[in-house]
Amino acid sequence: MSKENSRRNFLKKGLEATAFAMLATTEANAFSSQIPGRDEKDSRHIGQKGKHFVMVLDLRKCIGCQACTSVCKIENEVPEEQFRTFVTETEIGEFPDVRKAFLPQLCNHCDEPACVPVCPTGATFKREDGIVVVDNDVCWGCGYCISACPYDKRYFNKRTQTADKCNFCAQRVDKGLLPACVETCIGGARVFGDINDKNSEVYKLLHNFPSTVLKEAQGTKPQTFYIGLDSRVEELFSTTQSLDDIVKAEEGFKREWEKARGEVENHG
Amino acid sequence: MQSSRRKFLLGSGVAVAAASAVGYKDMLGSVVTFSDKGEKAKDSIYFNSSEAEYSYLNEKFVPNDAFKVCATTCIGCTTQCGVRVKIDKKTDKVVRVLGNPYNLLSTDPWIPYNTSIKESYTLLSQAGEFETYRSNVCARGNVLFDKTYDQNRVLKPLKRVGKRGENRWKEIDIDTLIDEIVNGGDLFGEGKVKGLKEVRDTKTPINPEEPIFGPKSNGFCILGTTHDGRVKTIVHRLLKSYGSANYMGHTSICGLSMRAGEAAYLGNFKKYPHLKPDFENTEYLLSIGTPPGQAGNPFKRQGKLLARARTEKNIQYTIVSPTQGNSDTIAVGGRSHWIPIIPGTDLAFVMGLLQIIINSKTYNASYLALPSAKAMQAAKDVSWTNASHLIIQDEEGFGRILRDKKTPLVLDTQDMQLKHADDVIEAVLDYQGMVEFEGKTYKVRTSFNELKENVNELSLEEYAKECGVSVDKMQEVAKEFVSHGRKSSVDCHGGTMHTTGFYTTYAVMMLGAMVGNLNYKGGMSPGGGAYKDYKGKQYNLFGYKGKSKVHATRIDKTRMAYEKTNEYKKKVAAGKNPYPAKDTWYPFTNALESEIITNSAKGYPYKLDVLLTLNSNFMYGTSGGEGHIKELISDPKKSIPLFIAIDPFINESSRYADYIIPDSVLHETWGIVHAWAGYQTKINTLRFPVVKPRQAQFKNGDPIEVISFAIALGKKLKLPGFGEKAIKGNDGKWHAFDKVEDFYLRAFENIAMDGKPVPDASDEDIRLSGIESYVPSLKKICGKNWRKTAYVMARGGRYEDIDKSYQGEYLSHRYKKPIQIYNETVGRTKNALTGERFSGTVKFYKQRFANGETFEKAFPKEHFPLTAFSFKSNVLSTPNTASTLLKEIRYTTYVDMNPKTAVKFGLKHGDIVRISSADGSVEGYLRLRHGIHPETIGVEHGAGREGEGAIDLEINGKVTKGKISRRTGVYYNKLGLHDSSRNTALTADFVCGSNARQAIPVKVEKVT
Amino acid sequence: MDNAQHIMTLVSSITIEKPWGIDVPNYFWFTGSSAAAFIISSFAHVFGWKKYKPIAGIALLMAFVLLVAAPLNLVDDLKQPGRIMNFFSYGWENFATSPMKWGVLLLIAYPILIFFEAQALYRPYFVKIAQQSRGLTKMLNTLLAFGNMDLSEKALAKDHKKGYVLGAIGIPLALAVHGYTGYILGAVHANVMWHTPLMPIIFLASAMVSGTGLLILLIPLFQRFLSERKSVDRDMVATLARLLSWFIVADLVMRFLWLTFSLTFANGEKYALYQYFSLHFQDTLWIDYVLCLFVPMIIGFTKLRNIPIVVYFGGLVTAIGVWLFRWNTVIGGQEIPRTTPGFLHYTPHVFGQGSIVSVLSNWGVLFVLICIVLLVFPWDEEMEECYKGAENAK
Ligand SMILES: Nc1nc2c(c(=O)[nH]1)N[C@H]1C(S)=C(S)[C@@H](COP(=O)(O)OP(=O)(O)OC[C@H]3O[C@@H](n4cnc5c(=O)[nH]c(N)nc54)[C@H](O)[C@@H]3O)O[C@H]1N2
Ligand SMILES: Nc1nc2c(c(=O)[nH]1)N[C@H]1C(S)=C(S)[C@@H](COP(=O)(O)OP(=O)(O)OC[C@H]3O[C@@H](n4cnc5c(=O)[nH]c(N)nc54)[C@H](O)[C@@H]3O)O[C@H]1N2
Ligand code: SF4
Ligand code: SF4
Ligand code: SF4
Ligand code: SF4
Ligand code: SF4
Ligand SMILES: [Mo]
Repeated sequence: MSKENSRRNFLKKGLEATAFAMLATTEANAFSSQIPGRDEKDSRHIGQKGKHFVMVLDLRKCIGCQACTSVCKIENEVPEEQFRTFVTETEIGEFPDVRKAFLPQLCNHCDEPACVPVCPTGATFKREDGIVVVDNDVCWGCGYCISACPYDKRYFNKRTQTADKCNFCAQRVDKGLLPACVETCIGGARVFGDINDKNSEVYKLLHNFPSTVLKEAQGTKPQTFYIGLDSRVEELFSTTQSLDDIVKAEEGFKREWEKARGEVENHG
Repeated sequence: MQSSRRKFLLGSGVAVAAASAVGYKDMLGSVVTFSDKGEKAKDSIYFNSSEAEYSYLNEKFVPNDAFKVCATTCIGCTTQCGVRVKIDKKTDKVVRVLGNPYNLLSTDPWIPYNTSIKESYTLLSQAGEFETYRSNVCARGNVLFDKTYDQNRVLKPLKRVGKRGENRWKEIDIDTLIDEIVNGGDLFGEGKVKGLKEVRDTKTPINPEEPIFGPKSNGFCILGTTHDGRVKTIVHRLLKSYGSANYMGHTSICGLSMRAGEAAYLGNFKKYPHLKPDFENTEYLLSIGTPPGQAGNPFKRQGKLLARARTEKNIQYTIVSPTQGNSDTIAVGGRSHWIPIIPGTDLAFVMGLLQIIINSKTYNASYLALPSAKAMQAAKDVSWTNASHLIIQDEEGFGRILRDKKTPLVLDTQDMQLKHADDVIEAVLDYQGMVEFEGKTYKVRTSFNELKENVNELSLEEYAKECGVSVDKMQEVAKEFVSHGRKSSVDCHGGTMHTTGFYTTYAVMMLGAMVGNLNYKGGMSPGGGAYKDYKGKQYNLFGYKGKSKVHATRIDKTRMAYEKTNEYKKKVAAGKNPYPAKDTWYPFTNALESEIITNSAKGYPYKLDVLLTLNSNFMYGTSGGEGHIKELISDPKKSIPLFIAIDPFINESSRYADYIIPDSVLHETWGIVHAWAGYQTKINTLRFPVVKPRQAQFKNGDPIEVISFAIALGKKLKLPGFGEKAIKGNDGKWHAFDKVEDFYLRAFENIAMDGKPVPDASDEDIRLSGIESYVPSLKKICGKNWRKTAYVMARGGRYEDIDKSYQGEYLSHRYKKPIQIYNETVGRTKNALTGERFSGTVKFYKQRFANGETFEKAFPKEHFPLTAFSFKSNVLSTPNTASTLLKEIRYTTYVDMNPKTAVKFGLKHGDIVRISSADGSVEGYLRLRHGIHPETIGVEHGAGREGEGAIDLEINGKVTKGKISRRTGVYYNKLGLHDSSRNTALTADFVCGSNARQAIPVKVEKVT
Repeated sequence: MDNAQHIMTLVSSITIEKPWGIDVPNYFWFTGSSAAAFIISSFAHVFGWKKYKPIAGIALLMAFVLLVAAPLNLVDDLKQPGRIMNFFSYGWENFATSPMKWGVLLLIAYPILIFFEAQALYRPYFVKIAQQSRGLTKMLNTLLAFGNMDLSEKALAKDHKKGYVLGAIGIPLALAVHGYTGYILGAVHANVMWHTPLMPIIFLASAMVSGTGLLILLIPLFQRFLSERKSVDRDMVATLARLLSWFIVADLVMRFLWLTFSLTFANGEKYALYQYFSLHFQDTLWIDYVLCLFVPMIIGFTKLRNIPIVVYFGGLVTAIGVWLFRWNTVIGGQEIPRTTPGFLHYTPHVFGQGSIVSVLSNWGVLFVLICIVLLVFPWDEEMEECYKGAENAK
């Protein structure tokens, strides 16, 4: 931030603080309970009324290619070593009866999100079209939502220092386009659309095939549905250390990388 | 309290308060000033995502003026998909890559070619037909444009300082560089180096004893990589003009076993066609050593088609491979099967299958009995074979097919008479005996008869023992395979890159002949071909005055039989056994990259003077490169006196070069590419710079890259075909060849005008496809056809519509020649080392050296208990090491081993292990997984780099540190073997010479 | 590498970073110890247990400083500490569901309450000092007495009453302030280790342990070096040691309930906990349980409690042990993966926000605050009077 800006910001925040102090003594109701963007009915905050966006992951079509993982990083400029989506690749069974299992994961845009009600600033919320978003101008970086998500689908964006996660590529969806990972999905496993629309592909898939969600018992009512999910894959969490982590640490990559990050701001 | 204590509290309190404030300064700084940490995101809700390139809401299309979206080609791997790149106009940088919906390698079904550009966008919106036309880019293609901006990219011409391989360079001017390589001299203070001018002697034989080897100008050799859209131009316009026969691509380290085996099956060693399953419509796919979805060509397309076929259609598929790969998913239940196999033994497995099919007579007999194209047409079939053709067994003419002039003779089943194949509807398939023709009796057998005998050489149990797959399993697969008839398909590729890969491929393909699947929907397809590009309606861009017809023996000893050399003739004349030759020869192989450095080092057939590599990384890519080639290449005296590399990066090979010439990267490049296989309609994908190339330029403004360098070099050497009057139009007019666009825009015009010319591009098309900046050049070069050429450029190429794929149950674009159940060329060729004839049809061999000595004997199990192989990464691919982002998705690679094996060797998940072959070793972290055959060790290929930013680089005295993330992983090819039966050579397929990277006997130990 | 029931081998995955760093266990330790100190002070002030009278004042002051220092940890753990205002301006719709929201209100109310209680306790002393001095000291002490210079019986009784009432309100508040930190974690159903309604109580139990441990260290230190007594009340040390042992018993009971339930009767996610504890079995058992709980417990329940140096050792290890327990819970709980495989390894940075230096700074702040209260509040006089009073009573 430029000096100029920070000074202005200081003044602004200072005023806010005084205003708050004054208001606090008079009338607590003077604040809306919501963040400005929602109050102002900003379309980015409200979303597309009447629609309810969901994603279907048809695992029969997933080839574990990580195209989704990779495009998401580009489209959303997800910082180094952070991911909004990733496809876990595992093998189930014992030689020679071994099967491959892929689990593409992203924010589930839960109908009962665990992340939203714990947010003390209201920075994260569910739009009217079902997309759970974070307002990075409001988020104070407490991390409660990250702790609360049963799916590990949030992280602190290293660059903005605010909670971040998949937002169904709202920047595209709001323009009538599709999420980047859906656009690029090689196998066609990722299907996106408005579940309220009976002609949508997602509606058809969910009505023609049995589907499941991850960790149903968490009660979060995920809106990312899986077709062909083997329940064993859900127990991924009880496998141990990822070898990549060990190797990165032992080889000194972490250190090199952090140093490099300090040196060059620029990526891609 | 005492005041001393008060003072103490006060003093220490103040001191600690100050220290704490300092410790908390980061936090306090923000709190006190209410200032934000980190960078401000571009948008409060959308974070840092870039704005959409257009919007389509309420049927209103609004392009975003901040960006342009251009169609071009991804060359993140050899698939070469057509993509669209979104470019930030302000920074001229690519911000996102999207699939090109016109291009079949990214899309299926792809949109009709005459769709307007605007509609090509709206179709891909929520309101369009997204689910139908979804167009995609893989993990690599999406991120790898970051390599364009890599720190290690070479932007200016470099000349080495210090010894070869030290990776120390200084920048030099391009004109100086060209001057030095043309004129030679004492360039490095290491003695005189011959320049290209001196080498270009097109008269004096390079080897006076062997005039057939051609003139001295063959001392100039160009080594490339894949066909990236510029290779043909270089061969035809630089090399042929110069007078050398020596161009090699990378096929011999890529998939030559497959290519040669299929060329044998298809009877075309000239064009090396190859087949791919019609993935989407096949009912049963038997894929041997090339799991679709894991890698393969076309990577995305076959992954996508397989995913669709197993979800929406009726496919069953079996993957035969030491490791399963990403073809499988538990989500599709019983449709997918895996047969684990020990590397290098699949020939036994396939011979077993053939034996079962042949002995049980479950093959398509009436199909195999079709002896000619005429019979085929009569039977309303779409392919035919030479199964019924008669092979002479007499000593004289042994192995030749019995013919009347050119027409083969067969026995008619009707009357058992010998007739012209054209006149027979059904020929005798299985025959061995005597026939009489024109008064001469011949001992003959049918191709099929020889095949039958060969497949029965070993018993099923013996085959099973060789490959470790049970007889029951083979029975099951054979039965399933034939049961789907013409909708059964086969595939093989990288898994055949071992010493018996040629016959393995031939055998795999032979399975197809048993059901007659060629040219059938759901069967095997030769690909849909392409529109005429270089030699087209408007121009023959390969024709020019003074182009030399080079008659020479290639440095790699391919396309040439030993029996034609004086060496052979002299020995015969002297009454000596002409065998063994000094080394192997490969008469029906196209090119052998993996042989040139070694051949030049031993001076057989001759020594090279200058090697020019184009984006080639023979060192890293060749099994045994590090172990055997490195030594030869690091000393200019040993093999290559002058080594020039064109490459945007300094890789494991160009590191040893004397000069490095920068090249353009990815979306900065001109070219025309096609699809390799696995598609049914015509396709030409274009490459043209859509962002400004970053490297230095020539004086005429062209950036330094392969073609512009060729122009400059050609002009300097005064070669024909460059400069004024170098390109002739079919209208008789002459044009100059000064800039790269002079050539490529004309090639694009050829494409546009081929057959029924394409329509004119509208202004809107041009604007929405970001090619406005090309309009002046288009007008200048293509004249009245400029809008047609623009039409093709706007769509990133020309593509036949999908409805042209099939004609009923047949493919539209078919392979016309007969399938070779017996290949005469092969059957009449001898092993130059032993004088043994190669088998003209499939036959079982064990892994072996060129002279026939088996690995089994050379590398006994007690010393080398496991067999190593490598498999391509589904994420990485070798040219993308300079992509930092890609490494975030696949950080490193491991030594993969079955847990059972690990227990046997006392190893644990995560241990550092050393694997060693007889000739090399490599270390890596051990990763245990059940999806790998217990007798093997597998390595994901593509990491463990020692180039492209992995090691320290010094330019003009400034050092750029090598990166751990590029070094990490296993450099598998260090295990590569030396062929002890040859002089200075790597193990290779004993027939076609492909570099043997699979099936390497190894041992493993823990590194403490 | 094998999954608990199925053979599942991992080929490719990522490990997610978690939000809360070293500041957070430290914060929990501070609030916990504060609550404990407050409760110990209330033994005398509210419940009238004479035995604790001499240390009640200093304990109250410690409760105060710990809680003033504690929130700095939270602020430091924020990624955007400059946006504190956002907390107050927005997000009230989540008041009921976000313990962080109402917790912060507690965090503000509680130290204010302690301050008023301490003021009531020390007012007579401020008045005395003000009367005996001039200038700045006079002004300051008058201010601290809130200008009320009345030393009449009635006024003193009023002070006493006020102290009693505030203390009585303070007990649930203290419990709530620390309980809420446990609540924050316990409410996270995503975290197998945290998610139990017992969590606030577990936190309270261990807080009593650490708080007592801290007082065992600090009070003798103050008595010996900073007060006029110049000697340590060995009886008091023994009393606290015994108290500590009982708290440890309570702590162990809570932990027993927690772990036995979550490891045995929980749903399938318990396998992740198995994994966690199998990775951390040795260090947890020997350090957390044996060294930091059993050893001090034995000290307090045996004659060993009469040897001050041994008790100090016990106090120290419990204080450290509870810190480690906070660490293991906060950091350990976050180590456990949820839908991706692979345990996270967290090592704090040395500098910057959320670093080792931050935590040291927080201890520094605590030190400074201690200095201030020791300088400002006439704690030693008050303590002396209590001792005298106690002797007179004999
Ligand atoms: N063990 C083992 N060995 C193998 C294989 C395997 O699977 N296992 N695979 C084999 C196969 S199939 C092949 S095809 C070969 C490949 O081997 P090669 O074709 O020799 O080399 P590549 O590594 O693909 O890339 C060539 C060089 O191009 C340069 N380059 C990268 N990006 C760009 C660009 O955008 N523009 C330009 N102009 N140049 C660029 C880089 O310097 C890179 O080193 O390796 C073979 N080797
Ligand atoms: N994702 C991705 N796609 C790519 C590329 C890439 O680098 N990455 N590269 C492209 C290139 S250049 C090419 S040539 C193609 C190659 O595509 P493929 O041929 O599919 O790939 P390879 O890994 O070379 O093939 C080796 C496969 O065979 C198995 N195998 C190894 N040895 C044996 C054996 O002896 N017998 C049998 N039956 N199987 C064996 C290995 O497990 C491995 O899966 O892929 C292209 N597509
Ligand atoms: S997946 Fe996690 S982050 Fe996404 S809505 Fe559900 S609880 Fe929130
Ligand atoms: S980190 Fe931001 S979004 Fe998450 S709970 Fe805290 S304030 Fe809300
Ligand atoms: S929808 Fe967008 S943000 Fe979410 S995972 Fe896909 S690409 Fe990433
Ligand atoms: S892009 Fe599609 S097919 Fe590829 S890993 Fe992601 S979800 Fe699976
Ligand atoms: S398959 Fe190869 S060419 Fe196609 S997008 Fe991926 S890397 Fe690029
Ligand atoms: Mo290749």
